[in-house]
Amino acid sequence: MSVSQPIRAVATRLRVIDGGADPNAAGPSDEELVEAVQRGDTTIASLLYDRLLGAVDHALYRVFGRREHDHDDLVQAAFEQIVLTLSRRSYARACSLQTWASTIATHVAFNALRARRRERRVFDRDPSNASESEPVSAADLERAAGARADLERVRSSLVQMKPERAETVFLHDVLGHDLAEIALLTRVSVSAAQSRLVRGRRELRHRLLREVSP
Amino acid sequence: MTGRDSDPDLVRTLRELGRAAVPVPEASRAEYQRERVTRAIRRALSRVETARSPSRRALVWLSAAGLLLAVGGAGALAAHRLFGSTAAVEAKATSAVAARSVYGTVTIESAGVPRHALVGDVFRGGEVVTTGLESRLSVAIESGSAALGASGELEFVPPTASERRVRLGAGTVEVDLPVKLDAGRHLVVETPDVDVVVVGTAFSVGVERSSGTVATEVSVRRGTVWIMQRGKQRAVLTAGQTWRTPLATAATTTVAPVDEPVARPARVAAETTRAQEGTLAEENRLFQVGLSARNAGDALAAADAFGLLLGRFPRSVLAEQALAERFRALERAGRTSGAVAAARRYLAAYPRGFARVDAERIAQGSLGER
Repeated sequence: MSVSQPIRAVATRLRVIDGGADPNAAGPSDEELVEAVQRGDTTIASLLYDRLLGAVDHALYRVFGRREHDHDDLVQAAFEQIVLTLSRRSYARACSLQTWASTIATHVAFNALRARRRERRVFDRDPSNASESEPVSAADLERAAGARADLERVRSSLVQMKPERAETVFLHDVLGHDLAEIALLTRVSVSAAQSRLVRGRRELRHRLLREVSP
Repeated sequence: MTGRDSDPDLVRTLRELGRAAVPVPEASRAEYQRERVTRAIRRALSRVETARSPSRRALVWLSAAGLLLAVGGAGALAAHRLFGSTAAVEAKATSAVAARSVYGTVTIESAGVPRHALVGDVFRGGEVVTTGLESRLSVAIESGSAALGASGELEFVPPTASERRVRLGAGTVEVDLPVKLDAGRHLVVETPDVDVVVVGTAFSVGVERSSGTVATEVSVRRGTVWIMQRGKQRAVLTAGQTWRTPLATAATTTVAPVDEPVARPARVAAETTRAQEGTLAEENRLFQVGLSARNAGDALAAADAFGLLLGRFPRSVLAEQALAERFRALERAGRTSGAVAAARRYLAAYPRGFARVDAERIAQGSLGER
């Protein structure tokens, strides 16, 4: 008697609302999605997009620092690559599907950056031309501009590095994946991933120092 | 573990890169992207459906490899007996040139018989191709491609063990060989007054005829190109350099300095002058207008803006992107014939472009799928 009263009181205060729950809980699991891709089930296209867009979009944004005019092309290329790798059973299910997707998107983004460098396109990529840029408050504009310039230098140096080192540094230090995960994603041993990370950081530091004092 | 070599400042900067806020895209843009990418995913998934299982694929490959080995071994033995070892080299050299895309009026004349060119046509040597106004032919040649522009004339010479040769009688041919040819082999683009010799590069050659005289212009985008005239090397061009024989006296040649503009045909010269006057801002503005219209869901206005950009600045660095956006916008607007025409134009100009999959789908008339 005395117990039922508080329960009823709590029940009247709580209500079910949308959102906040694990997004996977509402739809098929990662495992089911992967199997559907391997069957070539076209009906899961939207589900796959919704599940992985966040990981893909964030990875691309972090590599470029903004959404550029060809952002949609890169998102499309990343998803095509994801479907291809899943269908070829390259995904070992050792990490989450989102982590896998962010790795592929990172790879696509670095390839695009390198291609641009190769083409030597003198292209007006100033912030006004970008579709969206990082918000900067008016109060500390100068400091933010300095910080952004630092980040741009890091991005620029990463692109000039050996691809496997740059991607390992990016996956570990920027996207926050751990070494074991990176080793699985890039199909190397943990010690090889660690070596790439150490050498990558060292190379990046040297490049940044060289840029400051040529 | 990684601490020994880690630089705290560097790691902090990198972490900052990862923590930077990612703004939410505009709703209209997100909707456009969702529609477009899910369609691309469906296409990719439909290709998976038709793919063979790995074991079966492996079996097919093994069977094919075995068959090739058997046939190749027997063939090589017979050829070696009949013609000696050079026959194998000749066979390698005679890899066929095939039409990859045909846009507009393209005619092939072989043994005096003219016919319209079709995708997949093979050029073994002896064929003369002519393109009409607003027409273009792209062919797979060696490891790369060659594209003959409008009002052009190109003859394919039968290849030899060491040389693949084409004769450019008129118009412009753009060649891209991403992979170097085998040692001892080269490609020659022959014009009425010079031979352009390459082993792996990207360049274009144009021939201009005017009242009985001929001029050749060569522009190099990547790698190195040799200009030969009457058996002698006249110039060596590297990326970014342009060379031309003067129109009036085709026999005398000069090498233009890299940063010094050279005389060009009137239309090209006018466009270049405009570009040099600083049209990039205007090009960017028009492109941005198109993007804004696209993101606002106004596909027709977007198509118009991209069309305007292409019309005013056909050689813009944004041309490929604008053309891709234009055929997509026309498709979204339901302008089927316009979308197909724009997609074909894209494929003709950029046979290996980033949007070729979409362009091929639209050009093949599969609009409104699923």
